[in-house]
Amino acid sequence: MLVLSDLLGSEVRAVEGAVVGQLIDLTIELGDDHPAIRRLAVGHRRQITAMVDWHAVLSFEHEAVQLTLSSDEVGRPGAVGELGPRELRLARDVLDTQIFDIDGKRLARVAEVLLTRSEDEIRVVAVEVGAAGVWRRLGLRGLAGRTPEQVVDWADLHLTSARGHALQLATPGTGVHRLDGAALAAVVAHLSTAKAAAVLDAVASDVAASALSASHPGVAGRLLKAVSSTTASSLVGRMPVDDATSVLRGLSTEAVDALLVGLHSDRAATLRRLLAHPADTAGGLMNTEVQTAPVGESVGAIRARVAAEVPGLAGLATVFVVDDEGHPVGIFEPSDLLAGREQPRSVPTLPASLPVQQVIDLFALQDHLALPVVDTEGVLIGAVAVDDVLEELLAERLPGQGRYARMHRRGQSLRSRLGIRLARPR
Amino acid sequence: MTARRGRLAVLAAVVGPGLLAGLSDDDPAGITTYSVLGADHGYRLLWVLLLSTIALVLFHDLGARMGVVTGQGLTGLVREAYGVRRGALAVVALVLANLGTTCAEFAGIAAGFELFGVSRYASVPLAAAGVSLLVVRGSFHRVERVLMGLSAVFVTYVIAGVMARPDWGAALRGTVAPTLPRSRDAIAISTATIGTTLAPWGLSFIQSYAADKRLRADELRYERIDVVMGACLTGVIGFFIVVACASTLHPGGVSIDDAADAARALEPLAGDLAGKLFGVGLIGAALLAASILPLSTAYSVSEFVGREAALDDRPREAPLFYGTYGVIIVLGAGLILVPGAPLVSILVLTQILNAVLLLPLLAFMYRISRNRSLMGDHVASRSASAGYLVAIGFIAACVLSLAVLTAP
Repeated sequence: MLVLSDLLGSEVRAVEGAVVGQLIDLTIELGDDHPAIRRLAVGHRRQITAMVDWHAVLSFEHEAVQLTLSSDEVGRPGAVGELGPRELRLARDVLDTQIFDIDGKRLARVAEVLLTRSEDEIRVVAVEVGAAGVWRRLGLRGLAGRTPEQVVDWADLHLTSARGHALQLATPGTGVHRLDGAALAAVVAHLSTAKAAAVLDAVASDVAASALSASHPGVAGRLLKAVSSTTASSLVGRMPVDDATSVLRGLSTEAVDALLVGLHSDRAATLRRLLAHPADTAGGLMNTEVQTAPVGESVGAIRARVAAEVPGLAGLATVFVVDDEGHPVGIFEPSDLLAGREQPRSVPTLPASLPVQQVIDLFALQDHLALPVVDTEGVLIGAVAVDDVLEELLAERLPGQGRYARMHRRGQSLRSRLGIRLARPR
Repeated sequence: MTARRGRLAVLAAVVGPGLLAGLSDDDPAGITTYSVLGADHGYRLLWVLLLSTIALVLFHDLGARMGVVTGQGLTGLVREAYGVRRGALAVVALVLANLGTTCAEFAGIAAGFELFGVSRYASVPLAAAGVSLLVVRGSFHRVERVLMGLSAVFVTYVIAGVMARPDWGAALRGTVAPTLPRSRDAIAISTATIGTTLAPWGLSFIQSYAADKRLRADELRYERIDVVMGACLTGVIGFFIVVACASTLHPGGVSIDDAADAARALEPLAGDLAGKLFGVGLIGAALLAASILPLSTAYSVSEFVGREAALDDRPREAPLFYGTYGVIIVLGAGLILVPGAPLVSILVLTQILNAVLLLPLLAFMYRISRNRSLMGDHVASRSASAGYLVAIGFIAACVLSLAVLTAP
């Protein structure tokens, strides 16, 4: 295993043996899981005087790099050149910069770039993060030896340096392009707003919307304001309505209006209806996209319909049986449909104005996946599912809490302690 | 009207780091340093406070901008831009300065409780243990408002300053017409005034906090209002502390040797209760700063070393984070318990140390502000760069003068 910092500064010799400079950097081209070294940046002090193709390397050792080129060829005009469209400098764009460790779900700083030699090429395999690499580079080898090494595979990181971030977003198959919504939520929560917005723009819209759904509503709201208005409307249109409502509640009226203008009118009307319910009530928690069945419909017919419509079904696949006037008379849970239960279960209904704490208590006492929400006439207008209750309970643990906010685990910020009223997410 | 409300909402959401970092400068070290400045030198050196406040605005604005644009704290950014060795230099300077200031906060706790007859050997260990438990267990919010309320006692200096019937003409002349300090003591207290107003921990705190808030670049103009408000509050309170001490203590030639001496500047307002009022403020402000400072230091060290760590982590998962926190608390409190440790001297000397250690940190900040690859469109303009250089030059001149006068 080779480490980048040991190689930097090595003498670079031309074919006739003359020293043409020192190794200042190595470049790779993004695309592979473990990309190969493509070029060497050679120069004096920090000034690059030539970029040498890897095929011109005869031998590559710690002490010296031997080239197959003559001094004249190395020093010819135009030898420096621009970086290729996917080309990245390891010392400048990776070493000592922050990365997001996708598996560990946290930011880390690169202490060392680890390379491996195979046949006639050298590939980047991983980066070392954490204290051990720092102590070693500072010459504190004793301390480094007692500190556990932490390594992140090159395929499992997202670079945050300006060029690294931009290139990874532009290169399909790398880093964030392989993540699902939940994993992506952790990434965007840790990046600066501008970089997180660029990530949302770069990945597929469904994954981006799913990431916003899995984020803290405050984070999602901040990111919606940072992406273009078209993208923001598109993402809100793809989010489950209850999650979209949570996010919109944290935005100003003007921002909400601007977002809803770009949506289909039915979708916008649904969101406006939901926003009319206070956040701390059953109406504020509910999802309106629920599956209903008229009284008397056979279980077989319901099962066939649910099976056909499962994608996009909210309320954890619970079916609400309603009478002719829209009043709920019971529910079929998925297990009921599988078992062929003939009569729907009786369940309590939640008035839309019921305080959220009482909703939580009801779910704690009853074993149901979802409960119907009714208006003042007793007509079904939506449902609260157990995942909505969990999100309400765990809101402060969703990705996106800043370090200083963690001094106040109940979500109270230093700012609010100063008595300043804030526009806060629910 | 709606647009105005919208702007106010954005401002309210952005406000925080600048105001908090500025307010925290009015900690025991700041109060004591400003008190000594007024008691020993009258109104003459008020211009040092004015220049320090201008430098505070400049560098806190830069720190917040660096945090928003790069999304990183100061120590990590220095490592990214200039490598691991220079990053280590920055982190060592910051840790030393923060250790000194934490020590000053515990000196404030000791001095405050001594005004109530409580021994430092009881108050300091209890305060250190209490603050650590509250912060690490996530219960800090339970006492934060109380501590802020207690430290707000120092706003009474504004009233005390006015009631002491100061010579406003002399105060104005002292503020805008610089007179060069010639004695070693005058240069030392001027340097301490810079070090306490523009404290290293405040610089790293404001940058980390701004990065943490994930503000957008277009919100920076609101952040600037926050920074200016915080800095001006520091400057105004500092001004009235100097004025109160210059008009009550300086005419009688009273030097400040302990907290009771400093408290006498509040007598025009509080009479016999001045000592107790001062003690309560000192304790509140010290506990508040002692809660944030070690945590901010631990974040900075973690940020430099690499693995992001926070209070959510268990000690086994983040040994460096909790180790730094523990070392800063234990050493900061322990030094105050050395028998005969002079509290006022510690409060002032640590602020001189702050000024010395500011220099490398400000130099790094200046270079980063000029680095287009890091700062993009927010790279410092020529006029801003000139302002930074003048401020750094002023601080360097004070530190060098002190070094020359102190050398045997």
